[in-house]
Amino acid sequence: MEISKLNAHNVREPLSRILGIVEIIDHLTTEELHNEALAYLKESAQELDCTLQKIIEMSTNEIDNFALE
Amino acid sequence: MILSLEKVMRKLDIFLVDDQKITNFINKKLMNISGVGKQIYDFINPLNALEELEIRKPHLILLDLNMPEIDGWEFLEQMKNYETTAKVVIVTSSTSKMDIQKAKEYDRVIHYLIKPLTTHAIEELIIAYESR
Repeated sequence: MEISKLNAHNVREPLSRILGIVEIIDHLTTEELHNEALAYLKESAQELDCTLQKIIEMSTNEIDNFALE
Repeated sequence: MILSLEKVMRKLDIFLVDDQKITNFINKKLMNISGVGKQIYDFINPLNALEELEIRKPHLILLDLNMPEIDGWEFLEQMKNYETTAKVVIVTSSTSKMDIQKAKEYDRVIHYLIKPLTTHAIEELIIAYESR
């Protein structure tokens, strides 16, 4: 349950931003690309990585707990 | 795209309301690419958007649901206190059936889009706007 809640918002939100940037990237000026898009892309990718690490940690704990029972 | 739609697209004043600056940046760019919007105003704080409703008189508002100051639902409730004919398109990362159902309770909500927005989705929302 906890994991599915994390999925719904925390994963889809940064992922949607990454996909959004990819969608517009051909239409950006060099300046927009360097000053805004790349920084946003990096920030969103890091956020996604952070959430995925939490999910992996939580599911590993779940498996460990299950094994102990 | 048919001519009448194109005319509608270009005359619209639009509010983008999303707490993420980057999402507004993406959506504004997509609007430009699609040739949608006369004036586009973006807000990362929904309360500021409410304050400017009666000044800017937007035709259309793209509204995120998950925001810290007030969420999209509260925004829709508070809109009732303002003199506005603005239509709302919800743009969210939530695929929850409950949210989709709840959106139908508001007459002014004409469409519900799952992020990320695409040029295709923008065409869809203009058609939804035009058919109202």
